[in-house]
Amino acid sequence: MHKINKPNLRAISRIAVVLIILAIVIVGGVVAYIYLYRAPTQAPAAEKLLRVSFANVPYLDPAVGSDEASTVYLVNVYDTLVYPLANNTLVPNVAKSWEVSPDGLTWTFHLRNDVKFHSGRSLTAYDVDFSLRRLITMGEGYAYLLKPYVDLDKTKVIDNTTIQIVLSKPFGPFLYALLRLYIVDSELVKANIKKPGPYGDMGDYGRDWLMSGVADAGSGPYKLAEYKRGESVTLVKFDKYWGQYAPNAPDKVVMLGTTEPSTIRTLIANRELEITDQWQPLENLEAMSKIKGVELSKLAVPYEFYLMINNKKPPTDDIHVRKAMALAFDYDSAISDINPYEKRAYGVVPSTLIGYWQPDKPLTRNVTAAIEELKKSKYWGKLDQYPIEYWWVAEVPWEERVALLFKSNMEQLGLKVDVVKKPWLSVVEALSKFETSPHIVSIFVATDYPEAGSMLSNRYHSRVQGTWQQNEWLNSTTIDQMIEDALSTLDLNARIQKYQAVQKYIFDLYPSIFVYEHVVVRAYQAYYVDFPAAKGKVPLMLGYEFDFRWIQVYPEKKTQPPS
Amino acid sequence: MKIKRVFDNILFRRFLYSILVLFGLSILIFTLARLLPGDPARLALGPRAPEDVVQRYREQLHLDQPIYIQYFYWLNDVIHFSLGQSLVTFRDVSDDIREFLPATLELILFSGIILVIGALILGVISGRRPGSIVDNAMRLFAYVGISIPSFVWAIIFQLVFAYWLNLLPAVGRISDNVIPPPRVTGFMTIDSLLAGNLPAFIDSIKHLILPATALAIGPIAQDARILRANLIENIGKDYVLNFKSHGIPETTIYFKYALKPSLIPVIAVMGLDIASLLGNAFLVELIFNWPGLSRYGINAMLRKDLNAIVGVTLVIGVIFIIANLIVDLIIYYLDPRIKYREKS
Repeated sequence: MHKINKPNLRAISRIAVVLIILAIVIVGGVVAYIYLYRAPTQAPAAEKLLRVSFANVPYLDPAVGSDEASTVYLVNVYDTLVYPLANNTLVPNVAKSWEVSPDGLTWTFHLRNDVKFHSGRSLTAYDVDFSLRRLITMGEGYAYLLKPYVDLDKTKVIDNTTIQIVLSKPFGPFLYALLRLYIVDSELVKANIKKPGPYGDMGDYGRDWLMSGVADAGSGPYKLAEYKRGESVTLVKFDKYWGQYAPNAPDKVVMLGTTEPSTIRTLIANRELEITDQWQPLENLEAMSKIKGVELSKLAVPYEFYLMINNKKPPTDDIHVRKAMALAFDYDSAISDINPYEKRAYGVVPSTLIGYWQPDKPLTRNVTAAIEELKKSKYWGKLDQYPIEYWWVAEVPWEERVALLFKSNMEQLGLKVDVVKKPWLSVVEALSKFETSPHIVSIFVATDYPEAGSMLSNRYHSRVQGTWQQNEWLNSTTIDQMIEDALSTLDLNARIQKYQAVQKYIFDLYPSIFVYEHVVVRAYQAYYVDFPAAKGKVPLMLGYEFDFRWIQVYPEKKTQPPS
Repeated sequence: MKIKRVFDNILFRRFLYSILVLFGLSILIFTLARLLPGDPARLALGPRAPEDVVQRYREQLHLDQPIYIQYFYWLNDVIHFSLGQSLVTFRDVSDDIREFLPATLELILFSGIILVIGALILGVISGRRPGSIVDNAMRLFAYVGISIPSFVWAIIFQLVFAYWLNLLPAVGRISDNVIPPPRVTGFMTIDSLLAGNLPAFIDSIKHLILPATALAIGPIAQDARILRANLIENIGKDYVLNFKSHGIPETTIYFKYALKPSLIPVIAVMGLDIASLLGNAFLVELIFNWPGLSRYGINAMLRKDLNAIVGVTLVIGVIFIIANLIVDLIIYYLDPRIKYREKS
């Protein structure tokens, strides 16, 4: 008979019993504790606390970040030379005045002398110069806006409060580009440079230190209080800020890096989140809007959703085919049945941009006219030999519905459309080469500054050919020259006229189908938060929707149940 | 001495196998990550970064070299305790893993404790009276537990306990109004105790309950069923009948002689379950905004963060290997037949 190892059995049994009892005691204790002594999880009522969710936690280096969360962080923690108003005009900020040479190349800025960094140091022209060189040398983040124009060799500091920035070619919207030059405390950054690094004497240019979240190097209205990597960023008011705040501006702001719908809904319902991110699905927004005191903020922003048509591939290389498609597409259903919060796009660029041009006769669905147009095409009668490949981005599920709407609309013309779901990375890869790009791909494109020139150069200049921003493969020197000419024009009115001429020229080529102008929808606690973006009173530049010092929080209202 | 030698042999052999497995895994994942579409340097720096900057970054990451050269550079980094730079956080991946792993390990360990206790209690109760009301109730629970994925449990728990009852926190590791302890181990609970910060300890336990339970439910149901089946099988064996005929009390037979052999396969499965919680934690961490390795890993994959993908996969591989090793050693200790086989 097999001998049983008795001591082991006893030991195991005892250990198991002890473990189970211990676990029951611990779990019971914790549950009892939670019930009997519930530590407050909500902030004290008196604190003006604002919590906002974003797609990610921001990058903390002003020469690295350029996504939404990072831009919001930078707008609040760092100062800029100029500042945008709600009507998109620019006013002095750290620069109290400036002048530009007649050739548009030399910009001289006179700075305020009462601006203090969070470190306590005074801001000088040397800090502006250092920040500009740092941004352009590193080449990341928003550097692309300034790098093609600024001549660093000729740019110089005149004195403590004067800097001369010299451009290599005139750039009309230069002041808008300066909104992305965030001024860093040069001494503090230099003291935290890590050597060796990719930038010679400047080592890593202080990038590791800034990204680590130990502190910030800004002078903005808020300063970094806590960085929970991968989770959140907390900002607090800077009490020595030279500028103004709204009377009830938040004392503390938490930027939360999550967009998970069930989480966001729970946080909003528990009043643990004041404003949501812009990535919530329609049904979640609807559900949140039914919570008492919660409303939806709808802000039209200068992003446009395009069906980018390949202008060089048969059959879409024929303008009659492209025009027929534009005439056959059901724009109204795309809004009412798919994205009711979006706004109809009529033109080449969003209507909110300075210099927008709207066609005299907006395109509307007209199948008869579309068929007539198609008959003029060289492919008429043999269209079945040219199936059209339409890609939608797999990460954006509603795009499939637009694709299917397009397919159904085009079938009425006799066009065969193959709808293909493609992951974003595959789209980016395929659009880098003409051979691999499809006939049509649907993509949202954003602008960098509120002028039509931004979208025109981001979408239709040959510079962006081979990137995800252009599937049209226009390769047109005429368009390139028109865009460059407009951008180099200093006089705003003249620039607007040139922008409009480019738009008309492009529109007449029917290179794309213009579907939506984007409306950012967020849920927010309307009964105790005054959110200027909900009233449309914010500049149209990324990040300024959350210029926290103009958002107002009323903690006393929060303690009362919403009506 | 002999037993010690055998143990040593097992450990040594296991160690060698593990190195080989990790080496193979690194080659496989390194290659696969690079076969994904998209230019990692361009993705890291954004669509509008100037081409010369992107090119400089490609060269910095050796992405302009053939894949085997890239692997050589990576291996060289690993030898120097670095897993290469992350294209998303722009830090060394090993620093990121050091930062995020403790949060996930804490979650998994807490989940593991719930799993072991839950599976043992449910399995034993269920196996004691097969076919009874209690057993049927347990069966129902097991079916529901196994068939519903952990992220759905996460959403349900969040809805019930955080949203409706407002009993437990919905996100994060610690509340905003609680002062977090200084980081020593990275485990919020342990660091709180080390700092003598009881409110932080209680608060971090509260934050752990929902995600850990959501992760544990499925494995509890599965392991309880396995334990039940083993117990029923062992109770029917001849040696149990023999004990009964000698008048040994039924409770003693059940807990002393039937439970031990029944536990062996359950422990093997539990070990793997605890390791696989890492994989299941992806969505649960996302739902609870838990700043852990799984969440970091999924972001790495979505954004084609090459070095982070390889780093996270290797860490998961190491955890699986360690879990397997521990399970083998426990089974080796519990089941004498394995020792005899080893000897022979």
